[in-house]
Amino acid sequence: MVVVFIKLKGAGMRYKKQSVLHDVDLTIADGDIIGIIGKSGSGKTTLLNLIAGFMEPSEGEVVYVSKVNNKEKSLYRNLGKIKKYVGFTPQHNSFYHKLTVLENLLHFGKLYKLDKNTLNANVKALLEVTRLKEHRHKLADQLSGGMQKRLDIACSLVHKPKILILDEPTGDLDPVLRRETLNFLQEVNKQGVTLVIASHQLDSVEMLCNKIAVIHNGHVHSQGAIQEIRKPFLRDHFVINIHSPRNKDILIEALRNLPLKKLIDKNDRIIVYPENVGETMTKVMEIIAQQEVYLPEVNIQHRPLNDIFEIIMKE
Amino acid sequence: MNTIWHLTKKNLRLLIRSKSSALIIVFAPLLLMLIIGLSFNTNDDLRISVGVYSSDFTADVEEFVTLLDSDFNIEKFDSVASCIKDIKHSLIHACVELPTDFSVTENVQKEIIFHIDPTRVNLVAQITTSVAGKFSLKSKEISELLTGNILNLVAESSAKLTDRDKDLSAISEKSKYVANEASATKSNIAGIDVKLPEKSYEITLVDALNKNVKDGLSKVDKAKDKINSSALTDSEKTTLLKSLQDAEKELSKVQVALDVSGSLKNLVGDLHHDVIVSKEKVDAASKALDAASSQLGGVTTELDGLQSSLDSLSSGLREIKSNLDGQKVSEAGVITSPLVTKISPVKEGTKLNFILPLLLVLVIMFSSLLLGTSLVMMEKNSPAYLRNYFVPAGRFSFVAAIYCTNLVLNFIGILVILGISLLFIENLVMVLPLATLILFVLASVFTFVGMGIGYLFNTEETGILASISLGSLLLFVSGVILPLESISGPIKDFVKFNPFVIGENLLREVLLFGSIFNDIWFNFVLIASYAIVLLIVIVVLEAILYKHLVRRFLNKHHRKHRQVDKKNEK
Repeated sequence: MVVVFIKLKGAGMRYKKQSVLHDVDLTIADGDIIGIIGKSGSGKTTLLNLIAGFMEPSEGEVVYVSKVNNKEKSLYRNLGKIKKYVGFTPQHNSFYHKLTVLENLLHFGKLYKLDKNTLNANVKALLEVTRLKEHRHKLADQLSGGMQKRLDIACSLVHKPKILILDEPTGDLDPVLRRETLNFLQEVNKQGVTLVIASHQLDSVEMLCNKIAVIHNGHVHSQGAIQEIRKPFLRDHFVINIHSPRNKDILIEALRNLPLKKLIDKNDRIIVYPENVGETMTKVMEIIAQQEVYLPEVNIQHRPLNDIFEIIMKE
Repeated sequence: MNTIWHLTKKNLRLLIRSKSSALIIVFAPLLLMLIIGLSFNTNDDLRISVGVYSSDFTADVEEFVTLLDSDFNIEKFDSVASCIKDIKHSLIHACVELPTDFSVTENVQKEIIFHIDPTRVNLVAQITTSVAGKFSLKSKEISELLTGNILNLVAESSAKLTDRDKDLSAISEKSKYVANEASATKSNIAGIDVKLPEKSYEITLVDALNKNVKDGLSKVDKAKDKINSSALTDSEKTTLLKSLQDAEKELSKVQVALDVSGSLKNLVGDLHHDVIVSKEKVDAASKALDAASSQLGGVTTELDGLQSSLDSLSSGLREIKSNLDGQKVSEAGVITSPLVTKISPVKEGTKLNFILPLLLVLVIMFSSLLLGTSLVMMEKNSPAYLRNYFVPAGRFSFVAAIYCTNLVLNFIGILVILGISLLFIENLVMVLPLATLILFVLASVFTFVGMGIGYLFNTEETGILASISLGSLLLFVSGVILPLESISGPIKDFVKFNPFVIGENLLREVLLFGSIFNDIWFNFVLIASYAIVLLIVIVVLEAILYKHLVRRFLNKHHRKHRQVDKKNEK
């Protein structure tokens, strides 16, 4: 049985009589990695703040469900009771820059009133998993961006919360650091921590999350497992990636005669959005055979979440 | 030029839209000026409270006290000790020990003792000058009185001497008269001829005859004796004796006859002549003596008048002397300065000793205000502020932690200052526990004020500026720069509740005068009440502002990231 953890029931938020979010129904279940996506200013941070209990919804309610008696209680009004189960990592790093890695972790751990052994064990495990052990005596200021993000997340995990809420966890990171962070978050989820992530970096969300909620014009446009969201867009919604640095021009010339939605010439790659994926792939095979073109890599992908998101936005 | 104007407009716009910055940067200095201006908007002299002690508040003393009352707040004391005690408690500025009266009757100056508090470094000179000025006036008044008395005496003596001058003239006239009369008398007496005729009278014959007669008479006597002793009968004897008596008679007749005989006659003639001459001379002398007697009678009369004049003169001079003797004050020093003032400080020490309490309060105030503000700002603006929202630690813990941090830092500073002070101030060790307690309470008050500012202002710069402004204001109206006594009325009533003033007074009493808790309990309780009230205010303020601050924090970071997103999208 799925244990329901947090529920938003018709929740909405108004700022100065202006509705920022309305009629949000969302369920965050135990073990989920749920991504909240939306355009800048769509209300995803507001939604995240409601889930984190920073604000009380001006309409509807945000509740948590106790595992013990299965009763629903207002999250905002009972935040004190569930603080120890919640971790929050805002978009910016929220630790003390003039404390070392170890000092930061111990400081926040002590505020959660963990006993010394538990705290030391948690800190040790977090240093291992974040690969910050070697840097534990460095000031947080002196860490790289990726390490700082890992430290920030580690600070949110030092008390072993059941749910971790992250706002743009990979926002300012370069691709390598982004991947590192995503891998780390996957590890965290495997430890049994539910993740709620707000991000506008859809590739990261797609890579990490099993569920998404698309926020559009202040309400949840669609929500559920990524596959479910993607389902209406599956037919012919493919992308063909061709990596052919030497024969790129020949291929582009040949592909232009086919019915394509879009063709992108990007560095050594050709990204093709076909009208008919079967026909297009057959033609590509023919070109390879006829012109003896060497292709180091060809792959067919579902259309990325980004594309689906763009379609939704245009609706 | 346009660019500069454009940038200036932009700066002003930004400034005005940042409410707290505008408030503190534009209005705080104006407010500061207003308050300080109102505080010192007075032409009145220092209103100094002066304690007065005299062993007997006679009418003379009361009159002087009334004179003092026009310029000072006067409070009477029944002992010097209680008067000095009130100086130490800063209830009065000076204590004046007065004599029972101000009349100077002997060649001794009246001593007035000023008990002053030298620990009020910026006020002591003014108090001394101001109060001494009044005594200088009084001294001048007495000096004038004394001089007036002397001058009156001189004038009176002069008048009396003028009066006595008539006596002297009379004496002079009478003396001249007496001298003339005496001269005339002398002349008269000198004119009396008392020289008797000097003539040699031949008296040998008379002498021989007289001798014979005397011999005859002697022999008669012998014969009488022999008859008496003879055996003759009485009748015989009587007969004989009768005969002898007859003889004797005869002899006597001879003797008489001798006078009328020759030389005897001449002799008698001469004698007669001489007697006549002598008589004439005696008559003349008698007349002269009568004249002299008459003259001397006039002289006697004049001499009586002279005696009377002399008596009158003597009496007048004695009176003048008596009057002059009655003026006991004769020394120039006493006449010019009949009142002498003596300054008696209630505490001995150097100025460094005296300003130690002020230094301590100054250090405590500014460090607590600034630290309180900085620490709150540091916490509020820390990237970790949001994370603290999720920790199960109560908000009071954060407030208390900031407070404790402040205390630790403050006490390091205080320990250094007190440590150094131990070298200069005697018996500091004895009062150190109480002084430390006061410093602890003071640090708490200023820390809470600083924290309050920290919670109310958005940026560290404006918060620090507000703290410095508040500190400066408290300093300005603390009596350190300008005496509190020069502050105008309505604000003066508030200023005495300035924690800086209360703290400084408490430390001054304890560190300099060695006061114990019983002496200072009221002010201590007052300042402790400030600390408690401020703590409650801070806790309430923090509770009210916390969620607002968290939301503001979220919005601030959210806006920042949206700007980055937009930039990336472009």
